[in-house]
Amino acid sequence: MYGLEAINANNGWAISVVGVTIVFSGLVTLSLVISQLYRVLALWENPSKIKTLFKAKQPKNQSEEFQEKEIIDQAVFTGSQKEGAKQFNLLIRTMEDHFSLPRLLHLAQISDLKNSHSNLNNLLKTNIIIPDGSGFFTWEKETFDKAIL
Amino acid sequence: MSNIKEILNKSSIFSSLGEDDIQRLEPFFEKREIHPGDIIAKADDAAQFFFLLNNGTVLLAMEEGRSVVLNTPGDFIGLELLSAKGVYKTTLTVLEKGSVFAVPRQAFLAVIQENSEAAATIMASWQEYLDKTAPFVKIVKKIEGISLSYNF
Amino acid sequence: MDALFIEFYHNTGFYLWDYRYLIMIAVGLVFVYLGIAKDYEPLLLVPIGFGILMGNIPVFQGLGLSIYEDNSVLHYLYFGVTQGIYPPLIFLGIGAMTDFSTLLARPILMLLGAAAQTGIFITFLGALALGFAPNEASSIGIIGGADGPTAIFLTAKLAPHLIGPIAVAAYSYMALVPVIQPPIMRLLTTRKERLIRMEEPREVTKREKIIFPIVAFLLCCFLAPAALPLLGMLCFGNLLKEAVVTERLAQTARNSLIDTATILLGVTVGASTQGDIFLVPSSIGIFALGALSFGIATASGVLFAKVMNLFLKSKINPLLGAAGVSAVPDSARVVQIVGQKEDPTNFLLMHAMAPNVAGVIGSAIAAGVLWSLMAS
Repeated sequence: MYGLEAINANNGWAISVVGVTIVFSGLVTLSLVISQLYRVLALWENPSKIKTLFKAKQPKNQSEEFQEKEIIDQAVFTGSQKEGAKQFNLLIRTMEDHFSLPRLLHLAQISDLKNSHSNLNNLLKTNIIIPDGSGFFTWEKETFDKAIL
Repeated sequence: MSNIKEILNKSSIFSSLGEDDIQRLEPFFEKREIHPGDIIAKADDAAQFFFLLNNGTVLLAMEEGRSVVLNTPGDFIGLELLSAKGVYKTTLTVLEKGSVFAVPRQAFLAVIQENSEAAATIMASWQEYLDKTAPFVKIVKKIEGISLSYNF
Repeated sequence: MDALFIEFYHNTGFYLWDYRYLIMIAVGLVFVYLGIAKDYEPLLLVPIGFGILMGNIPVFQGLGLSIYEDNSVLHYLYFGVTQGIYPPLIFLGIGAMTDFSTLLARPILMLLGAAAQTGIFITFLGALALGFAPNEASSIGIIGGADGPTAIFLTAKLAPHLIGPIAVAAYSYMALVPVIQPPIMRLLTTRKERLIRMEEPREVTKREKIIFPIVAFLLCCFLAPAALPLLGMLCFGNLLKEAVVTERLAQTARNSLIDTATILLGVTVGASTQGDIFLVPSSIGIFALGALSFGIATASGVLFAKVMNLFLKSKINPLLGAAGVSAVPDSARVVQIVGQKEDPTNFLLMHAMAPNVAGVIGSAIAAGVLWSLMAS
């Protein structure tokens, strides 16, 4: 038996429709649940977030403030460097908070980011990426936002 | 080669050396230009050179994803930071254009071993430098020790 | 003494050879060459290629040498394939190395992973039309999931006699994803669509990343319990990774465990492709359907993305639909390359990882569904 006859005889259409429906239903349901998950978690975390609003901000050491401003003032990025920095930002989001710098560079290279070495160097120089003292690095979102966005 | 003398004097590792010792080391250093993307040492390759950073920035990639960024003129990339048993254990990638002074590993080790006083000075300075630059190198070794003894 | 030499000669491969073994040895050499010299999926093609060489040495039956003889070493190692042990272990490792953040940041991209799995069911229909039995057609259809372990797992359950050709077809086409997908992607999209830039994804918290594998596992396995071995191990591996406190176990899963399972699976699957069993007309049908399934899966994902754009305010670049084919991360990389050809500053790779990993979940669910439908 071949062709449409074979499909009909083996209940092919029904199996395909049921199969596609179940796969879609599963992933649609999962995506709906996941899309609300962060809101549920935000509500769960809310009490502690409210508390932190009332905590007085510690005044920064003046010289550190001055240093930070100096670094930020020095962080003058060209258009293409800004694009490069944004692309690194996207890569960072897929990595841990304390990430491996060689791995980041490797990801940038396999993603065909232009001038990946120079752009990474810019991020290091402007303290957008800083070492954590244990051989890994962290991304300074605030510094990035001020310098790039 | 007055430039190499300046860098040796700037380097925290070699600045305590006497003039004679610096003069003995100086001929072994060879200046090399480096460009972004260059790999000047690759892990598991035979360790032929140590490097003294003149300018530019290099990324030293170690085991377990750890790394160190070196960008201070006079940073010395050698000894156990770079190699073990004659093999590079880290990979050195250039991030910013500059230059390094390469010194043949064997020659460097031979020179400092010939003069025990100079060797002691260099090793003491080197220990301080390693503590400041890559303190986790020692920490990793400790953790490895603990995990090896862990029993289910 | 002459008689001894003659007897010895009768036991050698030179006497027992068959042209089919030679053809398969050539195929094995090509696989090894592609893996080593061309760097095409070397972690898969080299073990499979060498396994093909091992399986096609003509041997004297009864000495426990062939993979199909009960008392042979290869047969014992092959047990992990026929009983579906290696694929879940590989999925454990895959879970331990997968980052679901981009998927969590924009869950709607999961639907592209679902859409690409329609290739499985359309190929299933095509296989039925070619005269394959329903269980065989299901195993052939799952090639379209572009997931080697899933294809081998389902085939081991439904049509173990087809493991060789299906595994070889699945892994060959996975290695050829950069060749198969781009023409289809360009054909089905306009330049304007290929230039669409994706919104920057939101930040995903650690807590979300920990909760996701638990929720995904419970939801999907309640819906399709037959997906439990694969999805369970995938989600477990991911939980080990995200929980951080179990990093040691995650490291084992994504390094030594997955490598061990991959080596044994690759070698034994390759060794099972003996010339007299593999070189039959049905294998040609399987290869043809395999190519069709990849093409249909790519087209389904891309077209579904275009349909979604009719209803979305923030448009999706339809190229991302091709990443629903769960050849991780090759199809995501193909999306990046095709997108960058139009606009070098359009960075799609990380967005494409979302449907890519969703496709892994989707193909595992599809396999579970087909298994339970065929069993009933």
